[in-house]
Amino acid sequence: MRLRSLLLFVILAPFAAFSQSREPDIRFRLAQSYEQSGDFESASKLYEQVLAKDSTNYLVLEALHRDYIQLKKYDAAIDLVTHLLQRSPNDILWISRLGGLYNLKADDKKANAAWDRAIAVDPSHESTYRAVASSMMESRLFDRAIDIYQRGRVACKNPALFTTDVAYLYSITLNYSAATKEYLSLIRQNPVQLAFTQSRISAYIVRPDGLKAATFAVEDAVKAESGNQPFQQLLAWLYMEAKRYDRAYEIYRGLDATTNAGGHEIFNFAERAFRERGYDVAGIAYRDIITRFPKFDQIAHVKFGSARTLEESSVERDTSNRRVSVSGSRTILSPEPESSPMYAGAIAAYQAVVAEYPKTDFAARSLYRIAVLKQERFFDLDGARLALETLEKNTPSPTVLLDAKLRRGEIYLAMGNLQKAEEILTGMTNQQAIVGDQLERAALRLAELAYYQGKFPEAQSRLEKLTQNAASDITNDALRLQAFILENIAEGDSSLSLYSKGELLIVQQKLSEALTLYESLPKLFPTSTLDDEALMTVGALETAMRRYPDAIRSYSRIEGEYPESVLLDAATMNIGSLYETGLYDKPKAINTYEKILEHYPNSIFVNEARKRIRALRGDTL
Amino acid sequence: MNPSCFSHDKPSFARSRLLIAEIILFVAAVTGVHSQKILIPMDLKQADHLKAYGIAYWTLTKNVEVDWLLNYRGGSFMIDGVDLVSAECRIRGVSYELLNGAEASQIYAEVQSEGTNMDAVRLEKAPKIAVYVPPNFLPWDDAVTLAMEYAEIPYEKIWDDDVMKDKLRDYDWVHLHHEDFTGQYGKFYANFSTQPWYIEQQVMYEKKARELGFRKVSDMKKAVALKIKEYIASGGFLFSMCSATDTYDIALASLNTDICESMYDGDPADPKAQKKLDYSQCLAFENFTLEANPLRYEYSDIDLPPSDMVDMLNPETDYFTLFEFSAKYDPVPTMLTQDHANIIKGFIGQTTNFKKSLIKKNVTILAEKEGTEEVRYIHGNLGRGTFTFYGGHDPEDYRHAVGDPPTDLRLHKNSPGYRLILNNILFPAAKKKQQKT
Repeated sequence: MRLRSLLLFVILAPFAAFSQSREPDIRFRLAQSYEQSGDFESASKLYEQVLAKDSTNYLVLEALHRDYIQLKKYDAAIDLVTHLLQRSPNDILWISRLGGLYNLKADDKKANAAWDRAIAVDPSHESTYRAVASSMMESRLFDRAIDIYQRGRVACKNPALFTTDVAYLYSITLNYSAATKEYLSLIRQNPVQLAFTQSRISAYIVRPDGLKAATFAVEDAVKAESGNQPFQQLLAWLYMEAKRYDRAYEIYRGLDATTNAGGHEIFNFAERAFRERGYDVAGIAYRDIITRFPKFDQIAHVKFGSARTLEESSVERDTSNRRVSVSGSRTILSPEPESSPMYAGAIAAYQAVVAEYPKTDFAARSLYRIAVLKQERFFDLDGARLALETLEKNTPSPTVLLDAKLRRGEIYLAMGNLQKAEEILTGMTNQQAIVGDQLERAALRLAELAYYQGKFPEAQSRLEKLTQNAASDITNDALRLQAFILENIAEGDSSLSLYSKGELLIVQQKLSEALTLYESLPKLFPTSTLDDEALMTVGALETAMRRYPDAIRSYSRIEGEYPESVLLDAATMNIGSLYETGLYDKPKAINTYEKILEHYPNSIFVNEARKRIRALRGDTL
Repeated sequence: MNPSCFSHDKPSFARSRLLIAEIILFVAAVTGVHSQKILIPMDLKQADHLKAYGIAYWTLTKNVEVDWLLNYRGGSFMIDGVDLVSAECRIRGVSYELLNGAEASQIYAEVQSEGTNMDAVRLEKAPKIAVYVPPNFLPWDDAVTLAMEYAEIPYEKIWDDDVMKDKLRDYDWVHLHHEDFTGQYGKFYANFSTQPWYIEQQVMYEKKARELGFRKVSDMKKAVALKIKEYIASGGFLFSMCSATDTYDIALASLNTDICESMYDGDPADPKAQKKLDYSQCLAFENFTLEANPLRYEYSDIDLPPSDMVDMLNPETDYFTLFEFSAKYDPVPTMLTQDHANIIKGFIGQTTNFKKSLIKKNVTILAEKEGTEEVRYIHGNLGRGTFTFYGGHDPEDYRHAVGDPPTDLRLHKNSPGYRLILNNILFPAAKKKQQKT
């Protein structure tokens, strides 16, 4: 019996011991399970039981600390950590956490004391400051964390420590100036970090205050360290982002010299400035390359760019660039004799490109621009034609060939050589399917040509084909002319023929002749549906000739002579515009626009009239 | 501030109607039947309903009174001062009709008749308006400011420090931008916590809280919510939309607990927060259950359908219906529901509809989705003031997401949904009830 008991004890004893050693493990797993399900109360009780048996179990300490915080049992958590620190008084991580716990308890004094204690353990090591700052960041005390990092720099005698951390903290606390200074420090330590820095700074320069603060900070740095190229690059980049091209150019010019870039820094700047419509400074940059780097590898591109900037700058300054609408899609180009000197520089620059780099794409594009300027700004049709013919003959660049042909056709039309115009335009449209802007435009011009010549069935037939493509811009123009012909064509009535002849005179800039013709139309065809339209065109021609009082009289006649006209609202709108922008008579302009609201409440001009009244009376909208 | 507007006591309205009738008779006697008036119709003949409210407001700023003809042609406005007002109507594109004295009297007689559910309310003074918005606010973030900008109704912006400095008392009417009064930053954490705007917003709010002496943003928001409550109780008019409705009440209910998880305020939520809610503090809701998951884009079960289930809604069939009230005996809800349509297309917000069973019994339901638990528009009184909650974000943008472009109200001049907002703005202009001494 005794032997049997002894045998049983020998067999079972290991199992009992195993069971006892397994129990804490099972409790720990159960506690973890409770914790994962969000039952922190049950979890913490089990963890406490496990900890009571093994007070050194780090995993349990961590878990209990976590659960006490979840349960807002900050005192219990503090006791736990204090107990732990009795065993390991120099554990910086746990001392920092103690600071965090006191902060949660809103006991700032003890929190600060704990964090100070953590630093005192090892004040000369960077990881100390990182642990304390991390605890503060968990408590969302970002300003305090910055202070700790700064303190660490001094204590560790290394001002370069924690740069990205501090910069990031400054940026999220909206202190963009300080953030930028930190990033500058990063570049100073390692210039290769310029791109990284730009990516970080770009996050806050989308805000105007961020851009301003960053720019000031970098400007100061550049002044202090004038030889620091990455700083200069950063400043130039900030100026470009702020569209301060003049300032950016100064820096890129300097950088180009110091890096021996041979004009490439300036070229890259000029290209971006041109794309962003900084024409004046782009032009200066292009010309700088031409003067100082005559053997620049893309010099033709540079010279063409310079010419383009001259043209675009002239367009920006050309306040006389006004088109006057005639009813429908037509516009009358006001004669612009005073604009001549303005564009002369651009034309000369284009001509230089043609002379220096013949048979190149830049020469072709230059010739095309010359033609455009001569036709549209000077009405020098021969000059424009010659440029285009040279282009087609010598430099058949595919990029501008179709544009050149179309424009040459239009020029012949304006010159009155209808046969030649038709020949060129027909040549374009016969070559292939009429697809693409230039070919569709050529087809529209052919329809207009037929219309000007009074060949209305032919014009209609051509227009019909152009109205099929709903996605094309040309379709609207085609539909408008098609409807106009349909509305006004009448058997035995040649008023439409006379009217269309007048339009050809307008295309040819024979404004006085057109005026006489349109004035005569109502007398010759007193019952024509075009009489009010003719009077509208008289008003438009007088406007284009800057005879504003006459134009107002002509528009006003429509109301008296054609009270049923559908053009009454348009005529009134034009009168308002003349008072507003021609005669600068604000009260009369407002009265006229109000007349539209009162008399023509369903007019399409109502919204525009309202807008203008409110602008004229200075409403804040 | 208007110390008080209307209450629901019927005798006072009977007195008001008598008074208006007397005024009409007096005006008719003095000016004769030939004097002209302008009627701004608010039915389908109106070209621009939203700007019409702006005209009414503008007229009040010129010290010309406006009669709001409740339920007459969609809630039309009758105004004196023909030349001035008609010119401005034309300029702003608002339809109007010129009436002679006899025609105007006939309309007043019809409106005042016992046999019709109509009444005339005199609007006397342009209310001074404030919108509670954060400093980085853009007008198109919020339907109310969009409506006011379009209707050209002036407003001022206020923020937490203004509220804490008791500046609310300077205003007659306050709108709460779709703010999260729970201090959980719109519960955008799961989707936007790494976005610069979210990080900046949180830091900015924390700075403001510290400036005002609070350790946590949620504590500051609770204090702000209490100040707003005091403002209403002392006679203010509050209008809230979207999440500024339910989060406002949740903040009031949680004054004695912490419902924010650590990513929002640096410490965990109180595990017993739900049990500690005090619904008696709320304006409109009770017995609601908080959404405890900090990563879920929802605050509580007040919102129907929950924000993360709105994809199940079909915009084609999502409509809500305005209730009809007695114009003569319930002028306040009648004013708030003036519209040219009584079935209005729905629109989603972070808070879209309110669960009917969680609305307090003393709150008036103005619009709901018929046959469902979903209530869209509610109104109630607190002390001498009133509050109105309107679910959804933008009446003309079915699903307005963060970063979406602004709604162009020029394309929605006749929006019935936007009209409900503008009713609220004019409502404080209504003639004050005589104070009891």
